[in-house]
Amino acid sequence: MPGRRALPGAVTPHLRNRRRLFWPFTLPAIALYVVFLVGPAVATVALGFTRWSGAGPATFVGLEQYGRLLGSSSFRDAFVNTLGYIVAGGAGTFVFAFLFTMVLRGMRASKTVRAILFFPNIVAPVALGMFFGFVFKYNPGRQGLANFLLESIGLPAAGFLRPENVTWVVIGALVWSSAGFYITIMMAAVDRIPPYLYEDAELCGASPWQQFRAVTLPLTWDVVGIAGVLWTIGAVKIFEMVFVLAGPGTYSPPSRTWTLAVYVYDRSFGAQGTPEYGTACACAVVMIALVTVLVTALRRVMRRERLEY
Amino acid sequence: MLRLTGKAAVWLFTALNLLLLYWLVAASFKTPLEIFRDPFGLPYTWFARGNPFRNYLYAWNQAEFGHAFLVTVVLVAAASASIVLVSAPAAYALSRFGVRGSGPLTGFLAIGMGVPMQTVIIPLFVGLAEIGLTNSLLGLYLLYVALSVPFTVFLLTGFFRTLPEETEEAAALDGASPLRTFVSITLPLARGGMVTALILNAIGLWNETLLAIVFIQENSGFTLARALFTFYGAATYQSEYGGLIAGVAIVVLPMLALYLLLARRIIAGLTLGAGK
Amino acid sequence: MKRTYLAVLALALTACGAPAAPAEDEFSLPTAAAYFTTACPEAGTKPATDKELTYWSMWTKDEPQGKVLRYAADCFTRKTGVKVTIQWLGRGYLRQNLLPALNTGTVPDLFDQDLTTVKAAIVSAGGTRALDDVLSLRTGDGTVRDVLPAAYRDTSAIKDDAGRLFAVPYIVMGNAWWYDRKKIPGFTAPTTMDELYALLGDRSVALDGDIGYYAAWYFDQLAARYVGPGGLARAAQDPTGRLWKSDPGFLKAAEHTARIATHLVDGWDAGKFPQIQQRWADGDAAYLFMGSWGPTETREYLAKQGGDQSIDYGSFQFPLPPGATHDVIEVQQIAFGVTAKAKHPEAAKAFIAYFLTRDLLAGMPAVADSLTPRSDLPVPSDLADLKAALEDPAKKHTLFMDGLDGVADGTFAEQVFYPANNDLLRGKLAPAAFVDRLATATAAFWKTQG
Repeated sequence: MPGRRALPGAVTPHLRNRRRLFWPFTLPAIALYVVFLVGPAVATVALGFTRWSGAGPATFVGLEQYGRLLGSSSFRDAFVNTLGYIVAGGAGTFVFAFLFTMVLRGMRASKTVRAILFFPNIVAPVALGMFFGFVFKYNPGRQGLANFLLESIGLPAAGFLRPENVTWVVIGALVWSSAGFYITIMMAAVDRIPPYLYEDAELCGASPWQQFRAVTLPLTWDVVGIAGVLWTIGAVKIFEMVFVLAGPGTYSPPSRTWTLAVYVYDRSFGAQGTPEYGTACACAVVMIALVTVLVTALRRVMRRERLEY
Repeated sequence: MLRLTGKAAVWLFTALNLLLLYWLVAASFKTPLEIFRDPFGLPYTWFARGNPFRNYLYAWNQAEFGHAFLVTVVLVAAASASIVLVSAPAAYALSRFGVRGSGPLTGFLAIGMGVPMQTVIIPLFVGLAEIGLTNSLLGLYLLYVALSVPFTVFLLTGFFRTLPEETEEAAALDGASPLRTFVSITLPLARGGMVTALILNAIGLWNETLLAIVFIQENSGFTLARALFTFYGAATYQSEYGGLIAGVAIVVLPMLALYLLLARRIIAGLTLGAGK
Repeated sequence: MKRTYLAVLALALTACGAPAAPAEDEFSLPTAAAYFTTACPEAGTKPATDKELTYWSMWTKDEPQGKVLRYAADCFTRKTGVKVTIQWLGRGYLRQNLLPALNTGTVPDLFDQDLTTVKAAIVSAGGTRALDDVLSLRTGDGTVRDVLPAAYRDTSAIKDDAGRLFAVPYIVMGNAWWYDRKKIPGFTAPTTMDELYALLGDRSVALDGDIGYYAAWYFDQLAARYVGPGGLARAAQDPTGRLWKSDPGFLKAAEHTARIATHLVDGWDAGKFPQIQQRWADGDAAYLFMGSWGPTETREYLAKQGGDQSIDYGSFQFPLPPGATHDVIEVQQIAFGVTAKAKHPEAAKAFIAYFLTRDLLAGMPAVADSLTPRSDLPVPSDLADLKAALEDPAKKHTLFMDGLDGVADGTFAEQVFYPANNDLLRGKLAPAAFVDRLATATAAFWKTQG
C-alpha cells in the first residue's frame, strides 16, 4: 500500500509538519463520537442497573432489570425473533447471494441486473414495510399483490400476515431487500478472481456447484466473513420494518413478533404509560452483548475455516 | 441444467423487482379500488376525472409532505456536508500522518458502526432534552452529523489510503504548508471519495426514521420519513390508500432518480468497506 | 320519552333536505357544509392574560373531527384574540410524541385522547392538571357543569386517584354490533345468545384481528355481563391470578366467545387494519362489532373507493347471556386534558369551555358523525340505536374493556390478555385452557412487575 511508506525511523520534515495537524484534524470527529456515541453507550450500561421513568432521580436496583427481562415473555419472544432474523435471514440472504454469484458470473447484462437488485437497499425501511403490507394482504376479491399472483396461477391465497407467519414474511422481505447488497459485495470479489481459474475448472468438467465450492468460495472467504459481520450488525437493529409490517402502524405490533429493537422502543418512547428507561437500557445492553458475541464468534469461525484452504 | 435454472431464477427475481417498482408507481396514481382489483392495470379513474395527480396533491398538501420535503432536503444537505467536513480531515490524518496509535484509533471509531442506535438513544434524548434540543431540527442535525462520523471516517480512510503520496510530497518540497497541501492537493484528488461519502450519507439520512420519530414532536419539524410514519396511522383510519402510496412514492422516487444517475458510484461506495 | 324524541329525530334526519320544522327549543343539526359557515358563537370565558395556546391533536387536519376543531379554534381566536397553534399528530401521538415530551420543554397546553389512554399514559406520569375548575367556566351557553350530564363527568373513569377531574369530554363513544338495514329487512335485535348465534350465520362477523383491542371486545362484553363493572379490572389486578378461576363467569364468557369465534370471516387474523372492517362495508360480512366510529370510517372508505355503495347503519348490543345478571353498556369518551407544564392553562381551559358551546359542538354530530356528551344536541341517524341503548336506564354504564387496556399502563393487556384472547379466538386455546392461561400469566406478570 502506497500510504504506508512512512517508516517510523525516517520521519521527513514534511511529515513532522503534518503531524502537528493530527489533533486539529481528528479532534472534531473524535469529540462528536465520544460525546454522542461513547458517552451515551456508557450511560446506557449504567442506566441498565437502575429503575428510572425519565423524571426525578434514578434508583439503583442492581441486576433487577435483567431479572425482569428474563421473566418477561415479550422479551423472550423479542430475543428469539432477533436471533431468527440474524440466523434464518442471514442464511436466506447468503444462499441467495451465493446462488447469484454462480449464475451472474460471465452473464451478459450482469451489471444491469446487479443494479436492479441493489435498488431496495436505498429505500427507507419504513416505506418498504408499508409497501409489503399492501403486497401481502389477504382480502378475497381485493387481494394484495402476492395473493393476487397466487390466485392467478390457480393456488389458494395464503394468510401471510397471521401472527405466526408474519415473522417469516418480514424475514423474506428482509432477504429480498438486502440480497442485492450482498450479491454486489460478493460479485465485486468474484470479479477479482482471475478468469483462468474458472476456465481450468470448466475444462476439467466441473459443474457450477463444484466451481463454486472449489474456486469462488475459498477465494472470497474474507469477503464472506466481512459480509457476515455486516449482516449481523444490520440485523440486530431491525426496527421499522417489523413495526410497520407486523403491526397496524398506530399501535405496537403483537408482542410475539417483536425484536429487541422494538422492545427497547416500546419500553421507552413507545411506552403506553410511564417509560421504563431502566428496562429499555438493560435490553439495549443485551443488544450490544449480542452483537459483540456474534461478531466475535463469526470472526473466529471464519478464521479457522480459512486455514483449511 | 443448473446454470439454466439459475439464470431463470435470476431473471425472475429481477423481473419481480421491476414489477414491484411498476406497481408502486402505478398505484400512486390509482383509486383504492383499482389498486387492489387491478394491480397490474394502468391507472385510469383519476385521469378520466382530469385530476391525475390527486394522490400526490393529497399527500403533498393534506399530509404535509410538501413541507416535510423541504425540511428533509435542507436538513439532509446540511448534515451530509457537515459530516464530510468533519470526517475528511480526520480520515486523512488517521490514514496518512503515520502517527502512532492511528490504527487503534481508527478501529475505535469503526466500532461505532456496530453500535445499534437503540442502545444510545435514551441517554441522547435525556441529554438533548436537558439543553432544550429535542423537538429541534438543530438537535436532529447534530445527531445526524455525530452518529454518521464512524461510517464516514471508516469509508474515507479506506479511500485516502489509495491516493498516491508523490504529489503531496512534491508540494511539500515546494514549500507548501501541510494545511495548504491538504486543501489544494489532497482534497481535489479525494473529491471522488468525498462525493461518494456525501451521497451515501444523504441516502442514509433521507431514509432515517427512528431518530426523527423520537426527537421531533411537532409537524413543522417533520422529515419525510417521520411524516410518512405518522400519515400511515392516519391514512388507515381514513382509507386513504391512494394518498399513502403516493406518500411512499414521494419518499422513494427521489432516491430512484438519484440512483439512476449515480448507481455505479453508490454501489461502489457502499460495498467499498467490505470489498477490500 | 327520550326514545320517542330520538325516533322522531332519526326520522327527521333520514328525510334529508326536507325542511322539517323544528320545535321551538329543539335544535336541528346544520349540514356539514352549513356548519362551517355558521357564525362563531360568543365565548363565555375569555382568558385574561394568555394570548396563545398550543394544542396537540389526536386527529389529522383532513379528518372531519379535525376540520371541526380547526373551525372552533379559528372562532376562538376571532372571539378572544387567543392564537391557537395546532399540531395534527394522529392516534399514536400520545405515546410517540406527548409522553416522551413530558420531560422536555416542548409540551402542549391542550391535548386530547380517550380517557383510558390519557389516564394510563399521561395522568399516571403526573403530566396533567386537575380540571375541576373548568366545570364552573361558562361556555357560549351555560356553564360546563350545566351542559355536561353528570353521567359523563362524574365517573371514576374521568377522575384520578385523588378524585380530581383530569379531563373534560367532548365525544361519547359506545360499541355495538353493526349491520346494514338495507341488507337485513325486518331485523329484530337478538335477546338471547341463541338468537345471536342464529343471526350471525356462517362466517359473517368481521374483525380486524391485528388490533388486540378490537379482538378483545367479545370476551370483555360477555364477561362484563357475568361479573359486572369492575370485575375484569379486579381480576387483571389480582397478583395471584386466581380471580379468573374463582368467578365462574369468566369461563362462561370464554365459552361464548369461542362460539362467536366460529362465525368470524375467513382471514380475520391475516389482514391489516382496517381491511376487514372494509370487507364488512363491501358486504363480505354481515356483522361488525365496532365502536361508534365504525360508521364514520366505513362511510369514508366507501366514498373513497369511488363506487356508489352506501350503508344504512343499524346497531344492537350483546344480549344478556344465560345466567348473567349485569345488563351493562360500554362507554368511552374522548376528552381534552391540560398538561401540568402548560404555559397557557387559562387559555386551554377557556377553549375547552368554548368548544362545548352547542353551536360549535354540533360539528361533531353534523360533520363527524359522532355522539357528544351534550343531551341537547341531535343524534346522527347512524347512531340513533346506540344512543338509545346508552340512555336506557336499565343498562349500567361501564368503561370500554373495563379499563383493562389501561392496567399497568397498558402492558398487562399487551403481554397477558391480548395474546391469550387471540389464541382463544383462533381455537388454539379451549375456553378452560384460556382461563387457566389468564390465571397463570396474570400471576407471572405481576411477579415481574414487582
